[in-house]
Parts: sequence; structure tokens; C-alpha cells
Amino acid sequence: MKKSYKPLIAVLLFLLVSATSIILISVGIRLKYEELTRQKMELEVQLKSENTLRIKLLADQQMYTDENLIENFAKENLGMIKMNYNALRLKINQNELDEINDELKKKYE
Amino acid sequence: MNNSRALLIVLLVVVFFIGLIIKLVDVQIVNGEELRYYAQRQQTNFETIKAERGLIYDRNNILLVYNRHDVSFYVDLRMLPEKKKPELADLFSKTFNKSRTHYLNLLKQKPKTICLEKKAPQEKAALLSNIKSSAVFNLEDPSRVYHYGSLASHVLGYVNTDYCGMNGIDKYFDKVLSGENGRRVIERNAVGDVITINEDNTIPAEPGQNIFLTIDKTYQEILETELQQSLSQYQAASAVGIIMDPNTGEILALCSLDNFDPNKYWDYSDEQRRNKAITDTYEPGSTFKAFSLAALLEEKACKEGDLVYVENGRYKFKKTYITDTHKNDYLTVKGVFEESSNIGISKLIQKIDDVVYYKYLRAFGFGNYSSIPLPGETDGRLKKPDQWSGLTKTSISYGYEISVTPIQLITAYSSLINGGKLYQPMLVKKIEDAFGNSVSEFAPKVVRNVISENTSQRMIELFKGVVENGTGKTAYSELISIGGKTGTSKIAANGKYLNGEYNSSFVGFFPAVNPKIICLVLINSPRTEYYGGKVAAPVFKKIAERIVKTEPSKFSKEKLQKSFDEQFSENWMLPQNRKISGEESHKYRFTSFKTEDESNENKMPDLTGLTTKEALKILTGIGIKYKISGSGFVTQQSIEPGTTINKNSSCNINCSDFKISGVNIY
Repeated sequence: MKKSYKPLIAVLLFLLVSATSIILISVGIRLKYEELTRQKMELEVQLKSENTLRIKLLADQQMYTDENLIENFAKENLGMIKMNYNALRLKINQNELDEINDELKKKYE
Repeated sequence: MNNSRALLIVLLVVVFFIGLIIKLVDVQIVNGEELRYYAQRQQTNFETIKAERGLIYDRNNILLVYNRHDVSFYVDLRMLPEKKKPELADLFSKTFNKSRTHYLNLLKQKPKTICLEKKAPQEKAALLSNIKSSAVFNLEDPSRVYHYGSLASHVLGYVNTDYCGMNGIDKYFDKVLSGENGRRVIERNAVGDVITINEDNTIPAEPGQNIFLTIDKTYQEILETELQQSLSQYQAASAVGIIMDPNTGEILALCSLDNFDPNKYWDYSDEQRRNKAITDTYEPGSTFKAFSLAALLEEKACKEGDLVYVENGRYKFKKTYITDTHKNDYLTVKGVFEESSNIGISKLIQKIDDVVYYKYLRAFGFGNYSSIPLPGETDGRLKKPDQWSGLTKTSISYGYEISVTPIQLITAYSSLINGGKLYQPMLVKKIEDAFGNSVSEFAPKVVRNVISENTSQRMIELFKGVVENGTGKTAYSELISIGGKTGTSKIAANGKYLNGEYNSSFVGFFPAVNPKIICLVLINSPRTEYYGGKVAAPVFKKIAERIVKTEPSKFSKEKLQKSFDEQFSENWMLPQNRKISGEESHKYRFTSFKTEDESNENKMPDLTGLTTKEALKILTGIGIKYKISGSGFVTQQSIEPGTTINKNSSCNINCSDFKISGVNIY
């Protein structure tokens, strides 16, 4: 009698433990999945928020680095002046320069 | 015996498991559908994922409009226990720095759902994420941010509380900007916490597309500032200004004053929110003479040098007196235009047939929508020839008995100076999706050819004459050559002209050779002065000079250089042809300033002295690679000016600030 029950008990226990484990694992996985899904949603919201902030900062950066804004500040608050024209490139004839030098030498020597 | 007990226990557990399985089958299969229905009703709800509304940029990728993802907090007072109210008020008070009483008063209302905090920023909303109450919930409540406040408000428009476009680009391109909302199914527990999200039934939101306008923010600022100043200077009722590229029809700036702040649109009246540049019509007065003259020149009905007897300023035509401000006996056709003689143009217009004249006016786009992509445009009024009285053609010739919108007028003016092509006004350059992929690009659209190139060239000369010798002298600038036409017209209301109420206008362009910019200035009911030449033309001049100073390299440098040469030689150097005397020999003689054209594509342009921004523009235009060191002005370039370049060339640019006599020049 004893011998005949043991394997049956063992099989039943094994089945019970297996079934319980499977159920616990699946419940665990499901909970983890749910948690990850929630996290995903939260991160999506956070991403949206970060993206909004990035766009706002971009707009701010464009506004504060605007050439006209800087120019106006420089003029009105710092008293600077704006050069309206392109920088000049003077082409000086070397011969003329020598001529002037000679003339100067003659005058002061 | 032990084994029997063990077996019994195991069997009981097995029975218990079997019972569980039976119950599971009952719950899941037998009554599954019904229970699922109740569970869904109690636990799941659909949440809309709001699509991100598209952004709006100017032509230089400056961000003008974007979104802020605010959150609004609501409380269902029927589900909130009395004892929790002070706790909730404390929490909100600490988070939003408002008084506790404020929130307590809100929570004392009749049992209903109330909004406890409207449009809270995301970062503050995050601080409240730990509220565990089924009575408190929050909803996304995005806000549209118009970053530069009232700048270009009539172009950009605004959105209402439902986030629908109500005016301007935001309305016209509402479908493009709004995208498609998504949806997610959320399961919540009894206290409102999210259990899970049903991923299979989640439909993601499709963000709206981004719009790139033809508007130039810098030009828009200049236009608005100058018009605003003119409003106070001339104590005018309102003003309209439009800046356009005559060669493409691109609108670079458009302003209608008073303007409004789209961020707080509810604080402004409908009158302020109305875009007068496209919705309001007016009799254009003398600015319209340009079209009469263009039709006459195109029909070869007159030449610039022909003489016209202008009756010393008073002329009776079909029982009506036509008068001129400037009294003359004879004027050439050019003189008629420069002096803006009503009598002269009235006599000249008789040389062409009514129907021919009408066809020209229609071809210029009058009496028709300009098709600008903005809502609310009106088509003006142009009567058909069979409805004309004996006086109509004459009146129209100098801008009465016809009403136009400012946008129609500037569009038609562009065709007068661009070789005769009437362009459809363009406000949008391109549309991109949220990931930067091009969706559509808009090219300039020629509606029709109205006049020949030859007539257009002759008109340009006539416009130059107006500014140099005629009524538009106040628009004359030392910086840039300008052409244009003044206009002064009486304002009509309830079928009669109002005493002392005028529209003062000026339509001008620059540079006079190969015009790149055309600008219309319309000042409504100025009090201190009323002639277009005295009110609108000086405003135009200021706008033109500011634009030229902003981008000197874009415009012809002849006049700029000349002006500077004069100043420079007076103050610093000897005139070029003057011989150096012994006494003056210590001064340097200057030979020439650079006059090379930077836009020569095959040759490397000389970038020295240009601002970094200007140099970048030129290099980008040429399409070669570049590397920039420093900031300020270009001092050195690795490729010598004039060297032949190709697309693979790479140029290193060194920039630095100049310093003269202790004063920074930037």
C-alpha cells in the first residue's frame, strides 16, 4: 500500500508545484508587463514633455541670438556703433607709395 | 497510514485546484463575455492621445509657433470625501504657489466636476502624479505658443480652446497642422491607478506637419515697428503694410495694425483680429494711375514724352470737375505720372477703349481673389464695362470707383516691375512632416503675363521719376535707389466721402534696377498730414533703409559704396584724382574699394569684411564646404578671391571683431 501511493503523491505534488509555478510565473510576467506598459506610457509623456522643452529652448535660443536683438542691445545699452558698410580693402599702388616715401624723405632730410 | 494521510491531503489540494479550474472556466468561458463587459465598463476607459500640432517657422527656419503640453486638473466633488479636501488644497497650494483658501473655495462648490488647476506646466503636473484618489484626474491640455507675441499675428492666426485654428495660417492649414489624434485603452483599478494599457487597441497619434512660411521675421519686425511708429506719429486709425518679393510673389512680411497677441486672443476685439490686408477694400487713389499708364503704354496709346494739357489744375469733364493738387498747364506723360495729375491721366485714358481697359484691370487681378493662402480674403469691386457710367473709366484711371485689397494692389504692382508676370501671392514655402521629411514644396506660380518686359522696364523708369522728381521725393534714399508711387484717396462710408478722412499710401520698390523688394504702406485716416507723399512715403523710406542695412550684401552696392566713398574721402582720404602736394603727402592715397560681386558662382567671392552670417549665406548659396573659426567679420579665407571653385572645394574662414579707437565695431 505504502509503495503504491508514493509515486502517485510524488506525481500529484510535482503537477501541483508545476502548475503553481506556471501560474505564479505567468502572473509575475503579466504584472511585469503591466508595469512596463505603465512605465512606457509615463516615459512617453516624459518624452513629449522633454521634446516640448527642447523646442521651447530652441525658440529661446533663436530669439536671444537674433542679430538684430544683439545689435539693438549693443547700440542702446552699450553705446556701440554699427559699421553699416563692408570692411574696406585698400589697394595701394606700390609705386605711388614709393613716390610718397621719396617725397617725404626729400622733405625731411 | 502517513501515506494515506498524505494522499488525502494531496487529493484535497487537487480537488481544490479542480474547483479553481471549474471556477476559472465559469469566469472565463461560461460567463466570460458578460463579466468581461462589466469589467471593461468599470475598469477600462478610452483615452485620446492628442496629436502634436505642427510647428510654424519663418523662411529662415526661425521657430514662430510651437506647442506647450500643459495639463489641467479636475476634481469630481461627488467622489471626494470632505476630510480629503484640506489635504488636496494643501497639496495644490504648495505646488502652484497659490493660497490654500483659493483651492478650498473651489472645493466648496456644489457637487460636480470642477477644474482645480487649468493648464499647469508638465513639470508641475509631475509633482502631483502621486495623488491617489479616484476623484482627482488630469487631462492633457496643450497650449499653442506664439513665441514672438503679436509679431505676424494676422499671418499666423490663433487657435481656440478646442485647439482648432481660428484665423491665419493656423486656420487655413488646420488639417495639415492638426494631424490625427490617437487612442489608447487603459485599465484602471478602483482608485483610478493605471493597471495596464491595452497595446493591441492603441492607435498612435499622427503628429501634424510643420509649415515653413515665406515670411522673414526680421522684415516683419521692421515693418511692424515702423508702421506702429507711424500710427502714433500721424495719429492714424490703422495701418497696413506688405513686403513682397516681386520676382516670385513671396510675401516677406504682412502686417495689419492694430494687431493682437494670439496667446491672449480673447483680450482683443474682432476689429483688431481682422487681417485688413486681405479683408478690407479701399479706393486706391493715385497709386492706381500706374495701371492706367501701363495699359496705355502697352497699347501704344502714348509715350512718356507726349505733352498733355492739364488745364491749370481744374478740368470739367461730363459735368464733373476733376482737380489736381499741383497746378500746371502742360505736362509730359512722365510729368503727369510724377506729379500725379488726375486731369492728365483722365485725358490719357480716353485713348483706350472701355473694354480694353477693363481687360487690363482684370488681367492685373482686380475684382478677383489673389488666392493668398489665408482665410477671409475679399475680391474687391470692379464693375463690368456694361455697368460703367460715362465717368467710370475716368474715375478708375486715378483710383476711384474701384476698390481693391492691399494684397491685390501689391501683387499687381509686382507685375508692373518684374517684366509683366502676375504671380500668385505665396505665403508657404514648404511643408515637412514631424520627422523633417519634405511633404510638399511650393514654387512661385505665374498666373499670367499682363504687360511686356519693355513696358515693365518703362514703368520702372517712371516710378524712379516719381521718387526723384515727383510726389514721392520723401521716399528718396541715399542708401538705395527707390521707385514708387504715392496715393491719397478719400474714405467713403455710407455712400458718401467723409470730410477729412483719407487713405495715405505708397507702393515702392528697391533697388530700382532689378527690384528685389516691393513694399506697400497704407495709413488709414492720419490726422496730422494726409498726402501719401508726406505720410506713407517716409515710412516706406525708413523700412527700405532698415532692410538694406540689415542685409547690405543682398542689395546693389553701387549706391551704398558711393555714399560711403563720399563720407570716407571727406573725412579720411584724399579724392582719387587729387594730386598729393608736399604738405599732404603724409596722407595715404586710396585707389579703389572693392566692388566685386560676391554672388559669382564659379569664382570664389571675396568674403573679407562681411559678417559671418552674410558669408555663410553666400557660401551656402555657392554650395561649397566651409569651416568657420571665430565670430564677427571675415578676416581671412583659405581660397583666394577669384579662384575657380567647384562643389568639392572647401574653404576655411577666419572671423574676428574689429576694434577701432577703443570702440567695438560689430
